[in-house]
Amino acid sequence: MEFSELLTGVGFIDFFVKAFSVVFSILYLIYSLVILKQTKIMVKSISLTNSPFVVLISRLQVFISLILIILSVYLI
Amino acid sequence: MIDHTVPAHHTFHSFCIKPGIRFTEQRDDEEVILKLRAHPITQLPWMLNGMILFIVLSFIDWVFFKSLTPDQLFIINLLSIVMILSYLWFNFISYYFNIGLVTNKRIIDMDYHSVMFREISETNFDKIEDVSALSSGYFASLFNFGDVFVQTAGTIVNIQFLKVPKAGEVVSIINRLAK
Repeated sequence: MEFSELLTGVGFIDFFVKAFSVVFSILYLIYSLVILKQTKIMVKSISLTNSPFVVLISRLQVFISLILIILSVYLI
Repeated sequence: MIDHTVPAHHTFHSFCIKPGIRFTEQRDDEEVILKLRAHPITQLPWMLNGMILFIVLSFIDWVFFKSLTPDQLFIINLLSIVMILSYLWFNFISYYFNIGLVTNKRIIDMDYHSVMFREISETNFDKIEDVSALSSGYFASLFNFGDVFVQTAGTIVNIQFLKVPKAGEVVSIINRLAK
């Protein structure tokens, strides 16, 4: 996509989707890291039966957010 | 009347007797008698919201099917699905870690507001003035859940277990332990 295309409105949707997905993925990474940290604190304060599973899902969230960043930067 | 000396799990682990769990502030001679969470049926709204969001997503897909490239559609779908699943996960964590504990020494209420803010209130049995249960509404009567209020003396914070199953039994167990 050329900059001139963006100015004329031809590539606006491409630009919008790209910018939105990159920004969203980065914000999602920050969010998932915060959730992971909080989950670890909660698991440490009380040992429940499924605590390892809860931490695993939170880690998976961070992993997915990294995949999202790669996909949003390179795929579209 | 439920026997509080025999380990048992009721209502999808939201009412557990002697659950065998430990918490950070637990004393050496302290044993958890009762672990309480909100009744699972009270979590229905966010589950339904998740389902509605999935339906809305498929509708958006149908509307924008021709105006976006397959790659764009794929990434937008992926982001949307991740967002919905995160919403569900966030609500689940809030439900899972908001628990009330009744030990042989005291009553503890652990609350995580929006996951980020942690609030722990506790009171010893000798500080308890009154324990009451309030069950109101059609769903509360149908599924047998309610709010338990533990009033304490003076300026000590009052403890509330909201929408817990078998609220009457909780009051009964606390009263038996307080004697």
